Amino acid sequence: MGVDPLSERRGTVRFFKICFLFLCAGWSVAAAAEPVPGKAAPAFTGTDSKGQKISLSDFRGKRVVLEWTNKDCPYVRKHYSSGNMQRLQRALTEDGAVWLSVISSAPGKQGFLTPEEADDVAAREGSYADHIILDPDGVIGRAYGASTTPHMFIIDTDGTLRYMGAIDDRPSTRQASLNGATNYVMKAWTAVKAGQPVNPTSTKPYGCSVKYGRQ
Amino acid sequence: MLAALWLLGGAQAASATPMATADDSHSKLALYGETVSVAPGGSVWLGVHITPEKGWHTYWQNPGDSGAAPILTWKLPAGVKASAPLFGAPHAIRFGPLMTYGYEGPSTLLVRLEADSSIADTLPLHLSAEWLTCADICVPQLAELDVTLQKGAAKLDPDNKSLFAAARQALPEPSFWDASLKVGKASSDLTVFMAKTDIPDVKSVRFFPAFEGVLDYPADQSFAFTQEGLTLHFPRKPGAPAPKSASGVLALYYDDGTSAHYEMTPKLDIAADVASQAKGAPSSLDTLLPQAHAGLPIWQAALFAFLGGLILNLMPCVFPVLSLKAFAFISANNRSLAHRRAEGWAYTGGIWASFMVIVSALMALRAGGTAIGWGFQLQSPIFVGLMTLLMVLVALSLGGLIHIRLGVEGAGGSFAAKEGMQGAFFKGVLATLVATPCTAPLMAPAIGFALTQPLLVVFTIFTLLALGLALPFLILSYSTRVAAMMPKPGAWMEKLKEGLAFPMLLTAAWLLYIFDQQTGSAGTLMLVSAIIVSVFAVWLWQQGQGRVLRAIALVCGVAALVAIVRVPTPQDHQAAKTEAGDVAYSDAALNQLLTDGKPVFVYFTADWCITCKVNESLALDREDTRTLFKDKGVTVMEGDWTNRNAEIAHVLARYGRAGVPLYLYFAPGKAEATVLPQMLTYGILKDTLDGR
Repeated sequence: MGVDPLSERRGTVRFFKICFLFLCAGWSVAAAAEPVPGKAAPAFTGTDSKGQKISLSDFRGKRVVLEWTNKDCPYVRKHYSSGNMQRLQRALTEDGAVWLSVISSAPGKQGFLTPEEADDVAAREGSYADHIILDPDGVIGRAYGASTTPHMFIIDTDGTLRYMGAIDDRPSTRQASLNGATNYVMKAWTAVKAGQPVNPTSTKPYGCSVKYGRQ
Repeated sequence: MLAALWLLGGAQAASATPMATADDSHSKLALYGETVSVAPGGSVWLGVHITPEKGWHTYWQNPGDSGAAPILTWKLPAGVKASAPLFGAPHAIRFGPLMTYGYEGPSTLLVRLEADSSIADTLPLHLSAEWLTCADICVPQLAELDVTLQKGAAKLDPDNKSLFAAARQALPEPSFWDASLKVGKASSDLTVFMAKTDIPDVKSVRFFPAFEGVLDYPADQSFAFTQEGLTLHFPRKPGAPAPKSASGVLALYYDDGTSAHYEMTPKLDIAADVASQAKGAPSSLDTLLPQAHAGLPIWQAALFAFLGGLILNLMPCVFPVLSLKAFAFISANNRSLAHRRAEGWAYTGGIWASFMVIVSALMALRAGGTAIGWGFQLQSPIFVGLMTLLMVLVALSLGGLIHIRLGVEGAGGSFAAKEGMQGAFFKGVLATLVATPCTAPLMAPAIGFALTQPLLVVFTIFTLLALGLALPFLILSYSTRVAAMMPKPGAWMEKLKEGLAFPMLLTAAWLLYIFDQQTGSAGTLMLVSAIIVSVFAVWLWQQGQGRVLRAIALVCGVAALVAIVRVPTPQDHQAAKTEAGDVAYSDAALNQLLTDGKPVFVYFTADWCITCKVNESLALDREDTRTLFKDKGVTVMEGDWTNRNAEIAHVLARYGRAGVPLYLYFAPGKAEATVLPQMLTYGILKDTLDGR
């Protein structure tokens, strides 16, 4: 043979490693800070209407629903006046969801609420939200790219974002539009619970713009 | 310019004669007919003219980040059909960090009604309209309109001529240039096949996509002229849905303040990862993997797998078992070639079947949502425990201390002669099984890659891996010449066999180390005891044929196995073991450091990953490396994947890996990591930290 078998083996192993490195070439992908279905949802910490610090990581092991809301937005009104949003909140929270309503309206803008007002509104509307997160500087809203009210997100037990987008397929303010609407959040929730693929994972949100303040 | 438009719109509305009007809180709507009558089989254009109050705006068909397109719902008599509305070219309206598309003044939606020959004399039409007006806040507007058209020769309404002319003027022109749109995860590129000379005085351009998922609305659109034509580059939100169509409006803004709008439906080319993400997948791993490598031809991946399988034959835990098989062949030289060939294939089949079982289990677990990768077998202490036991038993059997009739010790001529297809098959199974502890660390990255591929590719790759592992014996069983080159059987075989027990014992020692890391010293004590009891059970069994004796042996053996299965209680390995100075990895901690603008080096490792351990000893756990990290103020984070950990599996997946090692460097203030090579050196680290 003449060749030291050990060095030959090392050579082969190295050859294989090099082959593998070739495979790896171009495998660099940016760490996504943005919400992308199937990836880790952006981490956040905010303050809820009770003055409690709320972090997404507090809910590891549970599924979390984020709802961007603005009580005066006609699209939000459609879902609350009809009881559609409360029904969804109730169904999902009773099914184990942690429901976080987020208000990203800046002070002086439509939908901005003080902690007391936020609690009042929630009580009056009969909201089943576990926490109402007040985000007047829009930090959480911007992290999630929340553009409309309502804008919905479902985050799985391991922190993976499963769904983002509209609540349903009817971009209308009419209550009648709820008849026969496909509720994307319910659909995604059911799929996530069943371990099925979510489809769609991302839709175009509809509604009023989130009333962000100046950055 | 806007004021002029406003006045113009107002003037048109004033002079033209609407069929019906409706006022709501912040806007008014008027419905115009280009003709008041429609001929059977003919058509008529209607104009839905919306005038918002000053300071308010309405929306285009794609409203952009927020808002809503007008919804027109028609109730039409039999024989009449309404087209989808045609929208005038939109404006870009910025609102805080958001961008919307719409009209800051009056706009006209053109709707074409088509009548067939069966229409009645009078045609009552009902329009239920909903449109959104927004300033700072949004107010939906509603209108219910009833109008009547007459059957008859279409005659233009002269009053409305200018209104329809203006509405058509506002429509984007059909583009006479072809275009193509490439949609990637984080950006899209539009190429319009035009020459610079086609639009000499253009100052800026903007593309208004008609569907969601093409671009990030508020982001700047950059453009350039290249060989191919006008190219526009758009940032895109990676989480956006895949667009249904590339259609949209290209706006050209000229030096003299004028603009032109072209409607186009570019050829749509959606990157595979965008499409797959839109479809959704059961396991996050499948969706996350960047598809850049998806272009790797199957044959190439298959070739690597085949080579990998061949190399496995040389691994310390596989080689002894293979040698036994070789002995069996040598001793059976007198058998017919056909028989040897059949046995070679049975052996190959055994290897292949075992690989398929392991892969299927892995796929099933992943489909169930468990975030795991190759090497997952070794993340289960039960499996590690049982493998340790197997290694010890095989070693003792090789050493001649015990005799297990599994065919392992079948090097002796008489037994090998008796060994049939079944024996060969199970030897293949055994070879794969004992190879697992070696495949996991060495092959994890490559196999991890394979697992991210479609089923057919996975199947092909693992089949070739199995073939690679089986190849030496296939050759041996086929070629008489190679078989003849093997040394003559003799007493040396017995000695060599005994000698080969030692690498097996070393493998067992290594597995014991992993087990210890996973369960702690109490668990290890239990495992060692269980192994000793098992060996005792085997020994006892072989002492005679007595029923009582065998029963006791059986009870001992079963008790030992139960003990191994029951023992493991995985510790919180991540928290339990972290090198001094290295921070345990968590998404939250990393994000915090990145937000603070600190440089971070993250390494992902596992105790069963040999490559990781080699890299750590050669490149990381060195005085000069540690000094380098300290000098640069780099926080070192360790992600330990010895046990299953979904958070780490997600990070690995994000970087296109299904296994460790993975080395990431986040430069200060950068959210994007540099991925370092799998073979780490001090030089590579220094260059990376120096930003070279």
